[in-house]
Amino acid sequence: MTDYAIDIRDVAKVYKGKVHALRGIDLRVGRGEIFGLLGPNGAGKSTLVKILMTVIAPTRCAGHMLGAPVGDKHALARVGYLPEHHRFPDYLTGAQVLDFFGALSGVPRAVRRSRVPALLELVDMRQWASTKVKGYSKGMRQRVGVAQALMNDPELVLLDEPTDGVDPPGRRDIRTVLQRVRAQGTTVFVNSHILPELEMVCDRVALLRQGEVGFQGTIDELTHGQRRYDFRVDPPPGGAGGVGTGEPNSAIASAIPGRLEAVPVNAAPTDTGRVTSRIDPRLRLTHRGVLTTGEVVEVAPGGLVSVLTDDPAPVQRVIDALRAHGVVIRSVAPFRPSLEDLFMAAVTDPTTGQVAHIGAGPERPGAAKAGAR
Amino acid sequence: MVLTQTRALFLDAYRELNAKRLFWFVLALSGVLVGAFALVSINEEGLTILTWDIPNPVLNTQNLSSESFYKFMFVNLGVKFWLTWGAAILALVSTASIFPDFLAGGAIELTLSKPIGRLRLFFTKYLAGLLFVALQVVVFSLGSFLIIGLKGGAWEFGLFLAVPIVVAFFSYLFCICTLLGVVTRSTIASLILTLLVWFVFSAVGTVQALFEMQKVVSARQVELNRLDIAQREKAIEAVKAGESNNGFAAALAARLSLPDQERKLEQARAALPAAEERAAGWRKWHTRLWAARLVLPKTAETTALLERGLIAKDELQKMLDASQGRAERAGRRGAKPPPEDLADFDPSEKMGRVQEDDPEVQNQLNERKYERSLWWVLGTSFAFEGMVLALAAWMFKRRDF
Repeated sequence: MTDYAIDIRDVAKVYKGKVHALRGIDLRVGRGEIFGLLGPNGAGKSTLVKILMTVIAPTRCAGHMLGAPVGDKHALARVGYLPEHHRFPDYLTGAQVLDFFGALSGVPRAVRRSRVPALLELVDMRQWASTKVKGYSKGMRQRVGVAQALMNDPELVLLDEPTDGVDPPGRRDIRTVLQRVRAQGTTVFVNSHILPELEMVCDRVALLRQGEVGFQGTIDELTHGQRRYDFRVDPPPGGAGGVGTGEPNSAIASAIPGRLEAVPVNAAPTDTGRVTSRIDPRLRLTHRGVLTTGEVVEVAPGGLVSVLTDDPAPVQRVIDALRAHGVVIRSVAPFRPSLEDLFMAAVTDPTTGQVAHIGAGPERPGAAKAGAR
Repeated sequence: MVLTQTRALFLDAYRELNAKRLFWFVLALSGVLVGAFALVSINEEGLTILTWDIPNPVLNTQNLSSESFYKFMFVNLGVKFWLTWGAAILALVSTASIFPDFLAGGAIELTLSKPIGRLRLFFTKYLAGLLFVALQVVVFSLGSFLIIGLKGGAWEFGLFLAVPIVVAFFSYLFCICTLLGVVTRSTIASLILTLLVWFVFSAVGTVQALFEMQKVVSARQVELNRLDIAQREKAIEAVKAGESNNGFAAALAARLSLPDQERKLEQARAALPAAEERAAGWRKWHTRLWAARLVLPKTAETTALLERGLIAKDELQKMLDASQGRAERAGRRGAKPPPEDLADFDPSEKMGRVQEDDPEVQNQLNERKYERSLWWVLGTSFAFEGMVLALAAWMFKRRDF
């Protein structure tokens, strides 16, 4: 048995009209983990899940899901799925929905009989079991949807925006369900653009942008090298000038022990160096450089100083130096980027500070031609 | 697993039907119609509705047994009028949404993600869609079976032939509705277009039946014209042969002078090529339409199979004869074959035009109805249905949802 529940390579999908939804995805999801696939609308998340669930035929796809080639219908008996914007037949009750889709997954009737009430209980819908779905709220439908995805006791469950339309208590309940399912050894693959949700439950995440994997790994792996200390400081008295002009920041920059240089105001977007603040990508940097101890340091308007390190030792030296120069330190805080920060950093053009086009798009010039179906 | 999935799909189809008021409405109307059968009975003079006697020269027990009468009503009112028109339209209204709803965004993804092949899913769903009509016909046939058994005294299991026949008839339309549902994903569009296609099928069938009648009528006209010419030639020969002593030759000459007889013969001969040409024209057009119809489903002929299966040919012939006898008594218009005996031949009479209700024409058309092979009726229709379904299934299999 392979260690991966999902192990796919070079997954591409070109729709009619030459829209490249996926441009060659490589992804591995370990067994027994909760894996989050994040990305903005139109990044290709649902397309990827639909390919795995045989709802969409890929243009190219290599790899396996639960040890079977992607597209193998038999393997789907061991997979649970909750589509985004799913719509259950209005004439069915919650219990009938679970029974029907369980039967389509090949679950024998006797097993369904015992599992339906248990799963409805798990998602706190037992009391609504005999009510027709058309009377359900969006949140109730999502709960039943999650229960439905577990009807066949799957080895892998793929949930596309499972907390969409669910109120905060409902979200918490769904998170609890996912953690319980993981505890039973089931692999959970969650598609979402609600990043705090993913951060709370996911062991590993991947970001899709423009049909490609922007990054993937554990939150720790992804934030490694991006932890920092953020200072909010006031320039020394007499360091004068208005905020944002660069002049007070020059006083701050000159107080920092290291080699810093001013970032030209009109730095070209093609400049390979970072020109926007890590704290707020909309702010352009005024200075950047390295400390004498080697750590990267950046200064942005408004007295924002960032030292890229998770080691407090060099920070002490910066504090001492700033104070020695009469710079008033308002706050110093260690900073670990959130999933949202990683996401924003990944989708923001560092040279312009603008959010890049991140959805599906036409074929890029010079890109290898994908064989459309 | 296959059985579990198939059972689930059929159960779901039943639940879907059960949720539709129209299903129960149609069922109630079927019940009303079956109840109406029970109010009608047949006697030696004609029909009795409740206590009201209606004399009828054709529909009476002299021409038709009580059992056959009910079967006749079942076929012509119950099946041909109700099940294959009224109930079929309502069934289409009810089932036109099956595939568009099935393919709607949010619904199809979940079903496709199950371990069931797309083709199996498609065809199971299609068959489940026929459940509406199957249940309706079963209930209707069962009701009629009981009525005929209780009132006609015969427990005719052949009535249940209506189930496969009406389902087959409906499937010709439902396959088109399915294809249009897959293509357009719109209930309204697929319903309207299916009704339109049905209208075209019916129109082509009606025109073909008209052409067939005209073909038979024109052929009969040629046949009668030839017989007329032959009799006239014999009459002239008899008169010329000096059989003037012979009673009938003298009578012939007395009825019409020899020159006039010769003139009439020439006129009859002159009219023959036109009649032959007309017959050839109808034959040609009918053949073309027949060829075109070969690829289309035979809706009318399929339902007529029930008549063939339930009502014996000789019984139908008896009814036809009774009906013709009535027409004769009322003074039939149109051509009649010349008397075979020259003594009865009147050369002054002109051969008339053959009418559509000519007994020989009706007999021939009736013969043809009973002679059509099952292969022609069902085989070609199912071939059409198979092709339509294959196209729909191919599109369903290839589509991204």
